[in-house]
Amino acid sequence: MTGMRFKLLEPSTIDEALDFLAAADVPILAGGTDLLLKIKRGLIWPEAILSLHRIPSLYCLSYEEGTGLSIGALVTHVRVAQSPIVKEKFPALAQACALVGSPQIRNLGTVVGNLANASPAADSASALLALGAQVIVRNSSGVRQMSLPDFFLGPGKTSIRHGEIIEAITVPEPLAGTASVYLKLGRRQALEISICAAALSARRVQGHWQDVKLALGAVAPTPLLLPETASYLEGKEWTSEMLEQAGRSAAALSRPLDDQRASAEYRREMAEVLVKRCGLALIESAAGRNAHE
Amino acid sequence: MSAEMRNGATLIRRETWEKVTGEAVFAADFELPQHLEGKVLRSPYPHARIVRIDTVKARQLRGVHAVITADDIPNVRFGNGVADQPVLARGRVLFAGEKVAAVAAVDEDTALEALSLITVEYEELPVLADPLAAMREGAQVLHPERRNYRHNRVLEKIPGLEMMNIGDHARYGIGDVEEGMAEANIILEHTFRTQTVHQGYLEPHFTLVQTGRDKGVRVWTNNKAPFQLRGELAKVLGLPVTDIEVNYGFIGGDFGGKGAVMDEPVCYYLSKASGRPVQMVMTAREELLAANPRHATVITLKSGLKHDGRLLARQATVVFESGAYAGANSHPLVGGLRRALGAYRIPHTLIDGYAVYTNSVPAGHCRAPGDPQVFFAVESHTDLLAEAVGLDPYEFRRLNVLRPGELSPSGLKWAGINALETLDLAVERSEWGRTKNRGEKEEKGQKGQKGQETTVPPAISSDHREIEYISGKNKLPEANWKTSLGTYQYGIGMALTERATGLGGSAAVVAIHTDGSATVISGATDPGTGSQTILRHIAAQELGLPLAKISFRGGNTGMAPYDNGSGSSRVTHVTGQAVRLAAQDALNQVRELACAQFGCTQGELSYDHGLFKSPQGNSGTMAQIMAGSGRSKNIILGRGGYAAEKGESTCFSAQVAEVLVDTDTGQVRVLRVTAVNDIGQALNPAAVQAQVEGAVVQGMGFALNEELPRVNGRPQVQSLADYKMATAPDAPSVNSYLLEGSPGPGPFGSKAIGEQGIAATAPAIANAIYHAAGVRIFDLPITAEKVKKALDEKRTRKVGRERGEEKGQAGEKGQAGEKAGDRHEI
Repeated sequence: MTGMRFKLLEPSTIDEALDFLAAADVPILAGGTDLLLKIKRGLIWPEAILSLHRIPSLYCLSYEEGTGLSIGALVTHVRVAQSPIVKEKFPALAQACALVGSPQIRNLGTVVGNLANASPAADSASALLALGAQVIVRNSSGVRQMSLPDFFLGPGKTSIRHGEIIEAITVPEPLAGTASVYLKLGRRQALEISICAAALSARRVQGHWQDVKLALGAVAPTPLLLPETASYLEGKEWTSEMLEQAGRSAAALSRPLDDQRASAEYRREMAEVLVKRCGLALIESAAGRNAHE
Repeated sequence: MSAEMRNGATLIRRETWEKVTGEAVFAADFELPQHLEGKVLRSPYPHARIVRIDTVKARQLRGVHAVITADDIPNVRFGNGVADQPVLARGRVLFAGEKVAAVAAVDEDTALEALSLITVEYEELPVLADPLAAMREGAQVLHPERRNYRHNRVLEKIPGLEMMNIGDHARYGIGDVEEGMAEANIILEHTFRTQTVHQGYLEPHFTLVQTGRDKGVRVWTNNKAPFQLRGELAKVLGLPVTDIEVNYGFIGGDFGGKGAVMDEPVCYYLSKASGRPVQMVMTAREELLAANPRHATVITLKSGLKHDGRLLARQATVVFESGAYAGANSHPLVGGLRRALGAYRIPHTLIDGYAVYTNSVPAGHCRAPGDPQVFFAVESHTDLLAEAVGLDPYEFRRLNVLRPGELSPSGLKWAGINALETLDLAVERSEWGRTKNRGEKEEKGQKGQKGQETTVPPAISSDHREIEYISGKNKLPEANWKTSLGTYQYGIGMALTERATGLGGSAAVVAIHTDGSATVISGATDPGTGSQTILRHIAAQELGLPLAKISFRGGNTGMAPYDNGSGSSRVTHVTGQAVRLAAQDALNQVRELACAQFGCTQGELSYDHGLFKSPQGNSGTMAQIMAGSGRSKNIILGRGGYAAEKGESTCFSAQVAEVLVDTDTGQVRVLRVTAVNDIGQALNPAAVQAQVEGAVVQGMGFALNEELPRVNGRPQVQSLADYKMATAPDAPSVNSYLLEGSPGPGPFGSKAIGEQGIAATAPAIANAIYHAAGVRIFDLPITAEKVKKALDEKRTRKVGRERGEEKGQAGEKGQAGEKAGDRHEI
């Protein structure tokens, strides 16, 4: 196999892992679905790879009522997608994780790895943006925490520094009445990199929508949180026209590129459609909840 | 022989177990001691002069055993039809991906490192990216020396064509097309474009070549036509056929893509240079960049009709983009050309076909070469014509479809024309005839989509049988599907296609063993189609033995008898007939033994249900006769040979596709495809249905998503992640019906299915999209983005019309007149 000769470092604690990183700048292996591809394509030729697989705490996917969700660095997409509590409390994240690649990729690839790869089209990224997730980073001097908009710097670029490891992602407990949704558009039904994706989270209080958060994927150099559009929708009872206006606002704020998957123009149009559809989906879920109650 | 054994029985493939467990031997499983890994350096430029190649550093790398460029090998060119392709680029590269240098090293890593040490200085040349531009007078000529190429057909009839990059040209037709157009009340012309697509086989090309001191060459490959490969190598290398042996195992998918010479010559020269066996495996990137994908085309169709919808004349201009070389094709103008006229009765026709060189990947054979392209055009055109004369697409086809005894529009005379029944069955078995769907469209005021009263198909005649196969859930919305998120417009479309059973020559041997079992020895490869099973089945039928008693052997050109290769839907027909004759010959020899034992004549001897009987009351099974025959039992060897030069019939295929179009995004979901194939006689229905199902999914990929786009000759898709073959969730329900009863040329009246199921899918989908959303897409693939754009344009026009801004110009001519690629002369 091409370039597949490297030393595999397998620490059993995070501290040990940080020691390795302090000694040499080596790539970190979690699921490997992006890392091994880079090696096979000859984009990187690492002499050593730091595997996290022997660190038990990183496998933790936990939920604490009132606090929220914590996704350890080794938690795979399939675990998040199939978790009943994620489906119930953070549906956008469950939906996004269920749409990542193929079953094989979801079985191996991790959510933290998906974020660390910093693809503007990463499925979990826009869902986590709309859910207000935080990134928990460990380094030799301790723990630092940052919000996702501060984490993404550009395609393949994050604010993680040399010698740091992402330990987990936390997602705050949603307030009562919160609903969320993730919608993705591609050229086929599976194994697909988004042409455009959107995630919306909001809670319904007496017919009005509050705490609105909206994010788009694949339409800018990073997954994009859109506070401007969200604030337009904040505190209102949404109508179809209003959601169309929000769609136009989101499209105007997007900065898509032309590539072989789609033109920038089409991506902008689809941002408009997906934002509206996310809004409609939340209205429908609220209606469903009322009917249920 | 019992009829039950022939019809409807599902034959279990013997190799299934081996394939599932991984025991089956594929080409890459062959290994030779001391073999080297070969790798090639490919041009990044679509058109460039090679100024200088420096291989010194690569040669010095430890582990490298050979580095070659064009300067190190004879100046030879290879190709199935015209031999126009060099082994390594000589002086100039004509496409991005062309081989420039090759290395053989102890392992892949070393070979790749050696490639990185080769420096090539290029001088970029202007790129001929578009076939129409390449055809213009004054365009730079990509093959100035082609008169010297082996097999080159000199284009004497129209002088100057070869100076316009036209590799081949054909013109033919029936009647007088000008006269026909003059008599027509309505003339419509449309231009269609189709894209380059890869065949999509799982197993990449593999080659292993061993050269010895005695000049002999041994090749291990997954080429699906090993005897043709042997012949071509003999010519290229200047060796007698006896010095070349081609070995092969199972093939991991072919779909037409593994019939051409690929890495065999370069492996041969690397092996010569290194003195060791050399193997090469193409990567997925190399497959997408430089294999032999389906031809891109530009197709213009012009038809003249009477007011009542009868077709009078059709003129077709078909441009096949050969790419840099045409050598991967048995003929640069692929077989689909004549079908650009469709399966209709048209008294006056003319086809102009061109194969044109450009600076792109050389095109080759892909499942029904030419057919999906020309039928996308001709069957989209057919719906446009129907609309122009105010007829339902089905009614229009019924009016014009070729009937028994009629001359095909390209001048062929076929026995047993079954087109109408094929079409009618597709309508009968699909949603087409249901009033609610068609009626709903009528309410919306679309022209030409009439209710069903006049289009009820007549009952299918009783001498035909059909075999049904339903896949998928078939739980579908019956009309437009409204959800809280958006509206999905439902549409239904049809297409009718035709493709004959394949031809060629094959020999076969059947040996009967002393225990009464038998072996078929044939040179036919099995690219996953189940050809070995069907050939065993044919022998079993002739010998009156159960399938389990028949084994199959082949595996190399030194031992197996000649076979043309597993292409053009010919194996069941031609190899099958050779096997049938060989089995008959062998059986006849056993009958002689039985006669000798029973003391009766051949005329008196009967053989039924595996038992030989004489009038005197003697009887015995095959095994008993053999056991009782002394040493004569060891010499039973039947031989058969069959050559088919010309087809007497064809196979019709009709499909009805149902789609949902998301009008906000332009996305298309294909819900269900009802496919009817005129099969003659299904010898192994399960295998036939699998071919139909696969063809529909591949046809859908061609229609909607698959594409190898280039920007000024530079390939934009170099990874399978970006090459959008359909996944399982994309696949529609496929309801397949095999229409039996119109006999074909194959054993027991069989026709063919390998390629026949694919061409109708794209036009049926395109027509369904038009029915659903009122937009006509003239160029494949029909991506969501194109549909969205067309919908937006349609809305803009509608707004314009409502405001009364559009006066006089196109208003009267209806929707077909609105597209740029489309001209009306009414």
